Amino acid sequence: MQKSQPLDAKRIFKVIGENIIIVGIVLLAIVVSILRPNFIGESNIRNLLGNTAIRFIIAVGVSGCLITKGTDLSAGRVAGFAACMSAVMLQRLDYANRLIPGLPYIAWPVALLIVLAVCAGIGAVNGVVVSTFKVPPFIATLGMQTLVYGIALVATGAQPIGALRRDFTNIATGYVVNPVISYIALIALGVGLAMWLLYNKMRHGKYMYAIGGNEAAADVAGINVGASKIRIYTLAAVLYGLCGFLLAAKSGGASVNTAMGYELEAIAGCTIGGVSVNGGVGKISGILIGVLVFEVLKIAMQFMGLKSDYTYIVQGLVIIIAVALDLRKYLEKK
Amino acid sequence: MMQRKDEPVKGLKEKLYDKINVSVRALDWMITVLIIITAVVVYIGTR
Repeated sequence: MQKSQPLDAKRIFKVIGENIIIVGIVLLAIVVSILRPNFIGESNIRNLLGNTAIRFIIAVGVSGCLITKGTDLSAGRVAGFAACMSAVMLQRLDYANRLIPGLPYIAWPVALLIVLAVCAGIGAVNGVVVSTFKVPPFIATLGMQTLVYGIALVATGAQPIGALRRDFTNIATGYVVNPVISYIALIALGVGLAMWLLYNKMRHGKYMYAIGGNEAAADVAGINVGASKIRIYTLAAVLYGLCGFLLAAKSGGASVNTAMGYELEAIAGCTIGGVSVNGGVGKISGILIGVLVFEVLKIAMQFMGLKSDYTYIVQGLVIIIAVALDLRKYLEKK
Repeated sequence: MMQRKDEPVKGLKEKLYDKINVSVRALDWMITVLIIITAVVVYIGTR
């Protein structure tokens, strides 16, 4: 017993050392909530959960690509395109400046299915380019990012799309029992549970980790690496589509710049949450914590009265520190 | 199924990490400096 005590202390320091960013942000949240009690008020928690939910969905999509040693830089633009598509289909019929005046009434579930199908197509193209043509994911998805942005610009004429139908925006404003538990938070929870099952209990998840751990060994073991990658990129794009749909509902409108930079926030959230950019490692719970930590950081900075221009500098520094810590872990293992 | 020798095992970022020639100690210093910079930015931004 006497010997186990220093060992436990060592373990505690090791856990703190491995999760130093999370520990730091939790301490920051405690300090800010003491200095500014509104920080833990109902409206702020609701706002925090809503923002986290949307970014969590996109981050879970990106995580599949990261686990297989890839990446997806098209995430934000696909989500933005999905938001524009949703907004175009779900504008009020009596609105004079509709983008497509003759478009008939479309029920929101039908609009959602159309958005998800289009995004699945974009993801499948990403997957084919990465797996069949062996284009590095960084380059392939960068190309897709620009392509999708261009299509969105042409399709919308770079105009913001507003006047959305109430039944659509209710998805974002509605809640269950308590205003804190919004529909968006519940949808994100459902996505998280489904993805946890997929990553941990199904063949797809096991293939994904195997490919990330050692692609050649996975291939030799009989895993169809190409088909798995296409599925991963397709599923990721479907999640970006869902994210864009919810974002349009939450914002009450959309433009080509909706979800701008979300792919980098998602990658940052995944990295902070322990998804290794070296592949093969990553948990859904870690991604949720990583995204939550990033959102807490942003809102805590606002509450501390940090000028908005400075928040980008701090966010950038936190991302660099997270990557440096990831590199440190890698160097230690070598 | 034969293992393809030409197929890369390491990812793009892993290869990048391998190229970084820095000791853990130096990295610790860099992280410390970055944390200090962050603190200074927060201090200036809230003044």
